Amino acid sequence: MAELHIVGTLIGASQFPASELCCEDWKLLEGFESAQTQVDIPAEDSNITLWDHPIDVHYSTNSIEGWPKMQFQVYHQDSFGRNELYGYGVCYVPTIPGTHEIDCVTWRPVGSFTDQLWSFFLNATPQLKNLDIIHNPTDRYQLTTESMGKIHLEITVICRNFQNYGVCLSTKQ
Amino acid sequence: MLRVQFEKGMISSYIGLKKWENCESESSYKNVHFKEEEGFYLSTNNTDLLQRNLTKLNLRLRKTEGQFFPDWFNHDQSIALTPVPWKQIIERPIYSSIFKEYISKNASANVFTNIHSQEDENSSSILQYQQNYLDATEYYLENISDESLIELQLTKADLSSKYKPIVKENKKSSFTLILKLFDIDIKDHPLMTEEIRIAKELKDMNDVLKEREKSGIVKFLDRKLKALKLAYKEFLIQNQTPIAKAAESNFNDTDKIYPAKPTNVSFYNRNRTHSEFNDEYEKLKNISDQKRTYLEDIRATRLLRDTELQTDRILEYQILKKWDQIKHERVSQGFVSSSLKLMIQTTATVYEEDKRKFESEIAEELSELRDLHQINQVRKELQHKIDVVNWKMARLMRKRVKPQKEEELKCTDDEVEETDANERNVEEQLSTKKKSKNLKKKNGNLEFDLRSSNDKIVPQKETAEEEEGNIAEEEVVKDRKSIKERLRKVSGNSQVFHRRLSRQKISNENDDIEKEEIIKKSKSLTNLDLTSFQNTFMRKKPELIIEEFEEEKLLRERLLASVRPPGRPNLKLILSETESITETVHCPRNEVFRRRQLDSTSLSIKIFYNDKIVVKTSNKILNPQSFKLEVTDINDFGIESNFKCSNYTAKEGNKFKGEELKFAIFSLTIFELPETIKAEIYEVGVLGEQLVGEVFIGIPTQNDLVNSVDREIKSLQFTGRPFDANAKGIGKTENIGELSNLNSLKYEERWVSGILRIDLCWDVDEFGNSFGPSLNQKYSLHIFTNVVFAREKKLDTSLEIMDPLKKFGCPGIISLKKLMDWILEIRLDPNDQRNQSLLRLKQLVSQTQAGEIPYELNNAFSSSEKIDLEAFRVPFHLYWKSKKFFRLSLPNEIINRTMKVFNKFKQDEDITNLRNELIIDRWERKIKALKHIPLFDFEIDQKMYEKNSDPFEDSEDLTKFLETSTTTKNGFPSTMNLSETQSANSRLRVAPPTLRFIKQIRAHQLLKKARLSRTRRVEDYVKEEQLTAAEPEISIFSSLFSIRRPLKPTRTIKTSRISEVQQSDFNKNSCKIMIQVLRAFNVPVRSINSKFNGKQVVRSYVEATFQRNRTRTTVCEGPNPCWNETLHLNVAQPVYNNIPRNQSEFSISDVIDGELSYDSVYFNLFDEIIIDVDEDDREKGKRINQRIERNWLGTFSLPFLTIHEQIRVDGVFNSKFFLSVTKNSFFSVQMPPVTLGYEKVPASESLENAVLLGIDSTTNNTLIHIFITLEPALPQPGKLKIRFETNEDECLLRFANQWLNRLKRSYPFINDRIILTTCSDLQGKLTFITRYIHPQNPPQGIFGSSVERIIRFVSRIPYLPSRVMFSGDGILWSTTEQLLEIKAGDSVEHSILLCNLLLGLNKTNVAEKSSEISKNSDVEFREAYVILGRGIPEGKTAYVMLKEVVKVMNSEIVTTPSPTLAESILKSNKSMVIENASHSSKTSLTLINPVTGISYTSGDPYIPLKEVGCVFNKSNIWVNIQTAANPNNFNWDLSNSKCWVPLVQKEKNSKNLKTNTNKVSFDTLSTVQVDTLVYKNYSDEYVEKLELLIEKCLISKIEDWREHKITRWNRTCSRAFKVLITKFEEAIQTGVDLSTNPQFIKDLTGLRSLYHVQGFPLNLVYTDINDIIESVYNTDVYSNSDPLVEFSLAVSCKKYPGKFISVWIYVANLTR
Repeated sequence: MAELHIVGTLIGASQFPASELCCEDWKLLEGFESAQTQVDIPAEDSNITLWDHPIDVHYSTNSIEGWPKMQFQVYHQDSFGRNELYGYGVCYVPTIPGTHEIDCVTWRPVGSFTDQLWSFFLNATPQLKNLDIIHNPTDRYQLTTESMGKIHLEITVICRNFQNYGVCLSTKQ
Repeated sequence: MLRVQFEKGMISSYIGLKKWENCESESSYKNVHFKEEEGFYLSTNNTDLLQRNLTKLNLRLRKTEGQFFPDWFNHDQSIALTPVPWKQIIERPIYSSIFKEYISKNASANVFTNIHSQEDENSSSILQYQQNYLDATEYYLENISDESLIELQLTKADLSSKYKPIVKENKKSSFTLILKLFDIDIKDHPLMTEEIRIAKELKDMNDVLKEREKSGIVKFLDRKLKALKLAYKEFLIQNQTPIAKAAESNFNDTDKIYPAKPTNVSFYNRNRTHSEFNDEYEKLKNISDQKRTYLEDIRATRLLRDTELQTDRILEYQILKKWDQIKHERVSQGFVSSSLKLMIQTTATVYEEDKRKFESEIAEELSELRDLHQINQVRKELQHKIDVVNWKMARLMRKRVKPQKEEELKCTDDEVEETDANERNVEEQLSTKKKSKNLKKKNGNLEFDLRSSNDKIVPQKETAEEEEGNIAEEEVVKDRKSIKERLRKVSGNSQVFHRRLSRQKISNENDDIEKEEIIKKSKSLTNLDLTSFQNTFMRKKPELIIEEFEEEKLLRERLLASVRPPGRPNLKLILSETESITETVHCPRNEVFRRRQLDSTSLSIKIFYNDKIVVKTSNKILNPQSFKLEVTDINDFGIESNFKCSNYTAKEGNKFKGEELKFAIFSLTIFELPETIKAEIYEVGVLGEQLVGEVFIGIPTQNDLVNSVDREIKSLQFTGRPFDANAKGIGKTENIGELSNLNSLKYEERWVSGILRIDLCWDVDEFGNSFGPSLNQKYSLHIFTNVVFAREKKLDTSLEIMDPLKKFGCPGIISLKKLMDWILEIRLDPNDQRNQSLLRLKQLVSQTQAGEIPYELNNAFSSSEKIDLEAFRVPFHLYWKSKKFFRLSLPNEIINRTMKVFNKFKQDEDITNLRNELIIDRWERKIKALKHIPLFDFEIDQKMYEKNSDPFEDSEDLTKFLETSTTTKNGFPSTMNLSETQSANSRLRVAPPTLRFIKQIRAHQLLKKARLSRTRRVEDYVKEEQLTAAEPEISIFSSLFSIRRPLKPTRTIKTSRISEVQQSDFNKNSCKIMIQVLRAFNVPVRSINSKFNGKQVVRSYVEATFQRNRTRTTVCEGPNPCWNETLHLNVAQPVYNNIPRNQSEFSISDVIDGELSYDSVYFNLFDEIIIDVDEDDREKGKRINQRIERNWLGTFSLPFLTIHEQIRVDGVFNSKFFLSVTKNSFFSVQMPPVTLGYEKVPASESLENAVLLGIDSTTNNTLIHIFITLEPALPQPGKLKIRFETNEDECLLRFANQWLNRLKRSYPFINDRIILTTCSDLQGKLTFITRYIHPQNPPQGIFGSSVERIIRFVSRIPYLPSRVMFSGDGILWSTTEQLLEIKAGDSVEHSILLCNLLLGLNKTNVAEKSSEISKNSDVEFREAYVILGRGIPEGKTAYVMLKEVVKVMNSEIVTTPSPTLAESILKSNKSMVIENASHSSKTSLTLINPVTGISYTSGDPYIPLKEVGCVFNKSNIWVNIQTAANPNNFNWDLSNSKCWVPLVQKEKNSKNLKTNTNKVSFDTLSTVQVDTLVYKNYSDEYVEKLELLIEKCLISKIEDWREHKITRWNRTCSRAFKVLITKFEEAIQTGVDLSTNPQFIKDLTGLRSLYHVQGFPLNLVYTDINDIIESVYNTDVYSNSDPLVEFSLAVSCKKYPGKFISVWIYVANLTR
């Protein structure tokens, strides 16, 4: 079976303090599929939150359907220690072997006016009931959302044996 | 507003919710449905985005990517929006616009108006409805290529529109068919020998079997069954109480519902209760309905699985049978004509394990059946009640209307009783009938077994049986009814009835005739009578008799038929074609003739198209063995002008699902519409052409194109001319000359038959357009040919006739409504991968499904808006109807095939991908990779990884060890030799033993899982130094006002916090064990007649050893020495990777995970002997020349972790503990059973000492009083945090918690005691401890025969504190099965096992009692409990309390024939017998330490159990609330509420509802234990090998320890000892004291007359060899400095069931 390594770092984000990460489908050989980073309190002057969370997964596959993608949920921890949703994001793992720097944009549902009011005063942002929506565009298209910041990733993709199965992966120019 | 409503379905909002829960939305999608989503969208920039969002997006894009990505914008600088953002290209237009145009033009077209009208109004006829099954879009798809339609459309269409309609460009009136001929496989032929025929059948069957194995349906069903069972269990737990309540209410309410005499007043009341009752009934019904569906599901799955299994087994059986036939055939005919060969591999299985599985399966199913039956019963009862109520009301009504009827009814009332009695008789009859039916069924089964060869028969048979069963039941019902009716009729004259009944009893044959009569008569009855009769019938509760025995029998039969019988080996059939065929020269004449004839026979195929010959293949000779013909070339083509045949070069690869096939391919250009395609097979023999068979080939559908990926080869079967199998002598080799054969020779007609494999499809051009006829062409042609279907006729009906497939829509497009219905109806298996897309769809459906408006939502809106909400309540069908299509995701395989990826080496790779397996194993830590795992499989070497395997799996390990130990230098130095010399450093510490046992225990799968199952915490990744907490500030004032008593100093309590502060002050890398040896009691003295002629002299001292460091006290004389000395032992610095760390500290991991955790402190009691060496008397008085010798008296050891734990874990408690120790807690020294040359001081003589010390003198044990502590205290591990998942009922848990808290509040002194209600199992789930107790079978054979033997057996299981096993604190209990699997356990696990076995023994005893009337059944019953508490030296420990009630015959207490265990102990001890008032039985209590196997009476003052926290058994937990925790002076009567508080209250409080429900639930808690334990055994060979190994190792070790001194071995003595020690184990098992056995002493004295023997037997549980070496080392026997000393050593291993070994070692030194 063809194998795919994903090695990299979840460097950080421009706005948020915490995140969750998860991949799906495919047969997992090694590594954790979902994990949580630490909470970072960014320095006063910098705009960037740093997580430097390691990513190391190893898949084997016999299909190119369902190429792994990364799904993020960013949370914000407020002064009371409550975790509040800050955004959802999804990005594909590049199919080009090599090192990539990826920016993943995030969004969050806005909800009705009252929802907004609540989230403004009480930090109670509406959340998705079904996380499938994050990577399933059909339904998401029907939501009113608000764009949030970006998550920065540095990912190295190592592919193996794909050419044996007739899959030709383009190389980075 | 709309949008908000819609979003409610997807996001969870916080508004209006009291709790932060997700609110369920029910808003319909209907109004916010966007057609664009369908993907058939063609409108312009009509996006539904909010302007606000657009502006935002615009701004953001301009800001961030504006310059660089002009793609984002249109030319007019607006954002480039596509209506559906993820789709760039629009494929095709939506149908409606075209159709509307079309309809407006062609109003005459019926169909479309029909559709149109259907959309508008619902007044459509059935016909129209059917028509509408064809989706409008489908019409579009089909008709768009219709010329007229296209023309019409294209002329009118907007040219600027982007879509490109699907138009066939090149219109041809010819079609091109592509035909692939693969092969012919002849199944039966006159030229076939019997052998070949059978071989072919066998092969086919094998193929089927392999295919089944590959698809793994059985496995899948198994998994499904498991999941279902789990779900059912969970459901039960959730809904336990209501059902229990229901059952109760059933019985309680009886009085209410059946009033004695109905009066007018109570009528209305009853009416009310009636409706209430109905409500409750509905609720219960729901639950029981669900339960029933669960059970039925389970049952169905199980039946299905069993059927599949049975099919497999039948196939296997058939194959074996066929193979037998072949072999027989080969022998009888004398030659081999087929190359088939079957190899059968068998793997042995354990009978007991299989048996257990089998039995548990049956038990499970039976219990399910019972449940099902119960549910049915309850439902019936409820139904009955309602009916009764209805009837009563009806009766009342009637009463009012017709009071005169009353009398009649009364009459029936009286009859009821009579009828009841009669009914019973009838039922009996019926049941016998049923039985006979069952018997019939069985016969059927047997027949079926013999005869069935086809797997399809099985389900059919099954259903047939079921039907039969149904019929039987129906008959029963009928029977009963008819009899009832007759009863009614005869009611006036009961005597007549009785006569009749008796007659019926006698003559069962006449039954049927009678029945008919009765039915006839009953028909004549008046209606009124009938109803009143039915009502009387209703008054009796319906009862179903479950014939459990019968059911079980049936189950057994079914299972036996489907499952491999227990103990039978696993079969694996391997088919190969390697048998060599007998050469023609050696064959008999018949065969030679046959072969010759076969060689001259060839086959050819002719293909006919519309009855015109098209193709003929060349003649080819059959393969003589396989009777297969591969078609490779085509001979000639037809000459018809209509056809144009050409050899076709395949555009596609000739692969079908990966297998390479040879075939002949050709294309066929035709002008006629296909009507028939036929293939004829001809045999060309000597006599010319002969038709073998013909077969019709289906005309390929429109979608059968040459490039479509999902086509499969068609296998078409044909049958030809008949022939007589026996007539000709060609294929047969029978000797006709024999008379007997002539009789058996019958005319047996068979047919030539075979299978033709073919593939037929339409060709495509280079653009992928079909050369086949499109539907329209077909249609037009059809119209052309069949005038019936003229234009005026309805289009679609003709279409339907043309192509019935079209009814179901295009492939991949499915009628959504039906699909929805189906999806909602079916219970999809969420575990099945294939169902994923369906599940997703279901989710969507249920989201949009409008049901009730959730309560929260209802509240959130004002009343005016509620009307709005109503609007959303639209049936989901309507919504989904608007979406015409739903495309299910295509299977992976098809995608791969279309894209031509991942289909190359798939099959080979799946089998051999070692690398991936290894990587996974490495990640799961099943293996330890020593090197990087290489890239390719062939590079992988066995040496690159090692498995973390079960240490006891095989003797292989052992032999390897033996080999390595023997191959090293000089004789038998063990493997440890090297490491010893390497690290002989200043600490004199020999390198730690390899510690195989504990390591392997820890590496055990179960434990690892338990450890891994905990959630990972930050500490697992980040190692941070913990801050030391500041000492709590004590106010100055408090010290001022505190009581000062300088003369009575109190101990400052060493809390954890204080010691942490201390710790930081201390140098942490030095830790000491402080041992204060105070005094000993009852030390054995030298025998008077021994060589040392003192009187009762013993000069004892204590030596402590830790990590091979030694320290000792001074010598103290007398049997009761008092040392009062403090000893220090250094704790060695942790060694990390063999390098001592410089600034090492004792971190937690060092202590727990490192070597320290395995070390123990050994204490040895020695007698020091001073021997004068001087033989010269002259110098006496001037010179002292003495040699010190010592004799080992006894030992005990204390694991380091115990010291570590006790001091630190419960600082406060332990200080108390040690204070209390000074009173009377002594370490009991483990004495060897026989110490030569020593004897105990008679109790009377030591009495005065005893009085002085305040000790009970009656004990025989040697006791030492020692105080141990660590200085400084080492850090403690954190609690092992595990997930607090639980399967328990939440409410029960809460109840138990509250109960415990309440107790702790009211009795504060029990706070420190060990009281548990729950623990976690190895999966980390919270479980009630009572679940662990369950009677289990003791091991077979003698080990399970008596209490003593069981105790001994349990004590032979290695003991490992849970701390060592899990490296952390936490209450993790394994079940007994797991204990036997892990092979080491905590004291709690030991006691649970012991308790269960004792209970099990009880059970078997009862069984025995019933079978044979035993005379000495003096033990009436046993009760066993587990005690949790603290003891010495283990700390937290568990004991087993055995309560035996002894029946005393005629108050002859003294002469009870066989004393119980307790009594045998009591003989020497204070008696502790509670005599009952009746004097006919007495109760005795025994406390057993399961780890050591020593039993104590409850009054024993030296019992090491020092504190009792709680006691539990299967159904209850009792907490000790007595102030005295010490077991020897408190009340053991558990029913005494002043001393013990039970968790579940007894009957007294059962009125209280709360406790009542709890009680019910606690009793019904199922056990976590398995019913029957399986004990695996070591082979005798293994035990012998082990014995040898231990002996060899010890010999080499002792030689090493003696260093430069010579070690002589006395073999004769060793042999003598060996004989001795083999007796010890049996002696202990039976409880015989060997030291008093005269024969034994005689044996020993025989030896002693020759030598002065110093030695003793050691008894150990085998864990690993190093433990044994270590304990021998500590006896110090080897350090005799006498130059003439000789040694002898004997080892005896005794195996116990469950792979445990008790090792006996006799080490002695001999001097003359």
